Amino acid sequence: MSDTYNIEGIKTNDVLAIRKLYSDLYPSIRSFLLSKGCQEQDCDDLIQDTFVDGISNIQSGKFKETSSLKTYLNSIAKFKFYNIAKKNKPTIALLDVSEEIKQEQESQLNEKDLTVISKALSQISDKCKVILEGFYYYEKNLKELAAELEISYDFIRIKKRRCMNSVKEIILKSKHHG
Amino acid sequence: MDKKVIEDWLDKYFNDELSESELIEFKELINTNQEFKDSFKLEQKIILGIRESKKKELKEIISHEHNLYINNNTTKIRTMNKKKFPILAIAATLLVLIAAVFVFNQGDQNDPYNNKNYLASVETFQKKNMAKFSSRGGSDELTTLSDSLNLGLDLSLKGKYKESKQLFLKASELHPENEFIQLQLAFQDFYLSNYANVFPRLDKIVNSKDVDVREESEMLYAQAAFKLEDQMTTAKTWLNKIASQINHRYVKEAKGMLSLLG
Repeated sequence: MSDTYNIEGIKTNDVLAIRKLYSDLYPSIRSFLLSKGCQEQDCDDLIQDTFVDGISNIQSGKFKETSSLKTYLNSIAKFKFYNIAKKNKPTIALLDVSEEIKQEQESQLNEKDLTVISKALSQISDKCKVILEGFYYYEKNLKELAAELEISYDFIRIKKRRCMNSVKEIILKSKHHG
Repeated sequence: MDKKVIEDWLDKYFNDELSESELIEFKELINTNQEFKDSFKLEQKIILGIRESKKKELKEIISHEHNLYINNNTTKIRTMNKKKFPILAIAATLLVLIAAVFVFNQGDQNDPYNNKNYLASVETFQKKNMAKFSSRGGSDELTTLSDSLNLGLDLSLKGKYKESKQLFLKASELHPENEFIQLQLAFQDFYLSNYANVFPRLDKIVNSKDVDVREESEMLYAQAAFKLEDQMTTAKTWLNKIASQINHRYVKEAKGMLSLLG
């Protein structure tokens, strides 16, 4: 479904593209949430989180453009709002190994860890950043990344491993020094 | 367990290349081999860190956009409420716009303030810093940083804003908390007419304890806002803030601009 928004710009954090999206859709998402019973004071935080998740999904290719962006963001907002509403209800779910690990790990990344990792990421080469962010954040596959960087598929596998090792090395070194 | 073997397993897992039987074996390794488990957990943390840092970047942008939206929206509502004087409101807006165009495009040297004067003040500020960085010594790391800043300023003063920005971007990766580098990135974006990009950079430093950084950021905020036609209110807000600080380096200029704008 076509939208009038600059999706390519949004993917690269273009401020004007994001500004248009935000100013166009903020009022309707807000009205929508208020109609669902969201309290005024909670709404703005919820809307900002909605945009962060929505744009992050656009950037990682999870948004498939089968619906309009307005519908898509509304559904994220609704999901978030209902999640908050049932926050206190315990849920039991059967998880496979990867989900189990994901959950365990998500609860383990605190602000301190994030600072250490961000610092390490700022010390690796630009190429490594493109590869690691491309693969793990933008969720591009290795073939795509190899084509973008004009290197072979075999080499990008090796390069990705080296980049990951560089980050690990910096983190481990900082732990020894700290 | 051999490091290479561990890495091969982890690569296959994270590249989503494990078969069902391999996934069972993988799980077994996590449960039985501490070294394997530690490597796995560290890489998972790094991956989450990559995603979280990108999201953090995005959060800053959204938060800025939200504040901008609220500021503009409040003004719009206020304007719309003045139903009794719609023509006056339109006329006033037009006057403000005309005055702004006059101030920034005519460049008359007799004006209490004009864009050329501002650019000249920035140039003086940049030259002063260049001299400071060229004479600074210290540890290797500090010397390297000073050299980079010096070169970045030199490129900027020569009008090579793109090259200067690239250099400051590199420096910013190594020193993300350095406020002076953020200010320089904002200056280069301003020179390159990427006005909308100036704001998120200044948001990080506009409350700086460093007087130089704070005062330059405040004025640059106003300047960049003036360049965007929908940001006149933001510009006036910053000019009022500057004008209210008697010791601010741009107090005279801010007052001059405000009196012209009415």
